[in-house]
Amino acid sequence: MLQMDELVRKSMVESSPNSRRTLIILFSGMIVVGAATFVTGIFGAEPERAWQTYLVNFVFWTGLSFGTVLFSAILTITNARWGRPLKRLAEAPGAFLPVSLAMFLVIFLGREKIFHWIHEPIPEKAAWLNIPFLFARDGLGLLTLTAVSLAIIYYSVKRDTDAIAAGVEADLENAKKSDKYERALRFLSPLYGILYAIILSLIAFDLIMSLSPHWYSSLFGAAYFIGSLYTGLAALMILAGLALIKLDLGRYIHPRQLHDLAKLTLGFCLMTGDFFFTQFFVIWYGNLPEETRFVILRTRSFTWEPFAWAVLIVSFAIPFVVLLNRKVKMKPAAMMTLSIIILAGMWMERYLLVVPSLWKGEHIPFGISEILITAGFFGTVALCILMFLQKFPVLPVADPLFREYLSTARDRNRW
Amino acid sequence: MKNEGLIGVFKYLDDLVGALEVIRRNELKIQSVYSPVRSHEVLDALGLKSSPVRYFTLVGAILGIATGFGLATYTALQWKFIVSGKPPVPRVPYVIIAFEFCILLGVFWNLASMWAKSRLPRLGLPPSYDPRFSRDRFGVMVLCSESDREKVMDILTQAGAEEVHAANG
Repeated sequence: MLQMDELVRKSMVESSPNSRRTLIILFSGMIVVGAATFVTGIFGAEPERAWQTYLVNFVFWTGLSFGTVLFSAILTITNARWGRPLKRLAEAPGAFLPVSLAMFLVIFLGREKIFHWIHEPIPEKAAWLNIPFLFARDGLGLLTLTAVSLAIIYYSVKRDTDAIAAGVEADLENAKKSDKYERALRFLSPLYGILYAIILSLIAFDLIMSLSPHWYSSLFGAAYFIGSLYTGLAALMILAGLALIKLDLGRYIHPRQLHDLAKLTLGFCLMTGDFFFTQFFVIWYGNLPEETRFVILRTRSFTWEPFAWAVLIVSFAIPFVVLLNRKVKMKPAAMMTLSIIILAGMWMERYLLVVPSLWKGEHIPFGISEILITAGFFGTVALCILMFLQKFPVLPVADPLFREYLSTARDRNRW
Repeated sequence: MKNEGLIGVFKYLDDLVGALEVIRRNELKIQSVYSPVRSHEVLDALGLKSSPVRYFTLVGAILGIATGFGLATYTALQWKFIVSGKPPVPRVPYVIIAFEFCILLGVFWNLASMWAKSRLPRLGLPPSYDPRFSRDRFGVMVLCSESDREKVMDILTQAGAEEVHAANG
């Protein structure tokens, strides 16, 4: 029988003040170094490099954070029990979203370096591609999606913190009260799913596709938001592995969670690959110059072709082959390693979509400054996750379906 | 009569799996397990190795990819169906043909190896089979002598069997 006191105790991250301080200093250091490199870069000899790296990281980390929160919304929409132990971990990267909203405003400062169509306007697209409208619609879109994400996280966390404050057992008896949270989550989650698809499509069209303003692909938005969910699932796998290894939560997160999460990751690996090929194939067949130029630059040019192959192998081929194996899906260390590979591959994919549109040099602009700016973004996301998990229960202790899962999980499903 | 034993009928998979674990711990002989659906839990509880069917399927799928690319390339070279702006042997659209062949041959190899491994076709049903096992119930047939009968009956009943009756394997 599950001991509720222990569950509540375990749900709060029990790290020593020293290790917490070390991590905070490490991530803060990354942020400072990343920010300094970015500021030095934009006032240096090649400001384009700093701005394009900033944009790559913005679309990557923002998509990832929205993607993990979508996992929590999907659990509510589908009434799923299996993934409940991972619910709070999925909500943790949501703490980065308000910061991401502020980071979006920084792009406004670099608009001259990022959007070519400011210098060479396209008259027939001017009604859509103009700076005030672009920042107004994207800003409003991100604000709305962030607000709904935070509302989902708020109601989810509030149920647990209220339950802990009142004593979990006492609160469980008060079913009406938790229904209030459940009703809010059931309303917000489908809304979030719809807004996620619309607003991330908008971000993909405006912040990535418009960098090559003559090129278009109607599936591009969907490819971006599906890819973001793929990165979100990979990030969640890393968080689940850390929770198992570092927080010793093996009593609540079982092999089944890793297995099912890995199967879901395989599904979105296939879907991400499929959306790439669907776009690529239609463009290849149509062979229209305004469509092929974007693809030829990335897949046939001397500079980018090896990089494009690397993206295909790292973000699709390796995860696909590894995830065919059943046993590896239940090994935390192996899945964390694979998830890091997936995230690296998807970061490279975002880089391949953004940078060739902006960079005109002969070599791939990748060096120490790109690494440090990316480290700055990573430090920001990691610090947000750390602060969130320090403050709120790491397990959804008052979620009725989490309780139901724990009461039905048998010994053979455990480590 | 040969292969006499008891058959337990279960409503829940978890109860069946629990029963299997106890039966194996007591070193009793399980003749057959019936389930309306495939279940990894049952395989784990029986301590069986995974079926090699999946490897046959993989081989079929890889052969399918090779066949798809090979057939498309061969026909393109035979017919020389040149389209402007495209190479004589274009690789991009052949991915779709290779994919379709991958599924087709993978399924064929899967089916063939599954039939071979299951020793199908089987023209008669075993006496212990109950039509409910193809609908919504699970079953286990445990071989036992007259002296073990009571012990097996207790194990099955305590594990949650809806009914236990004598049967021939």
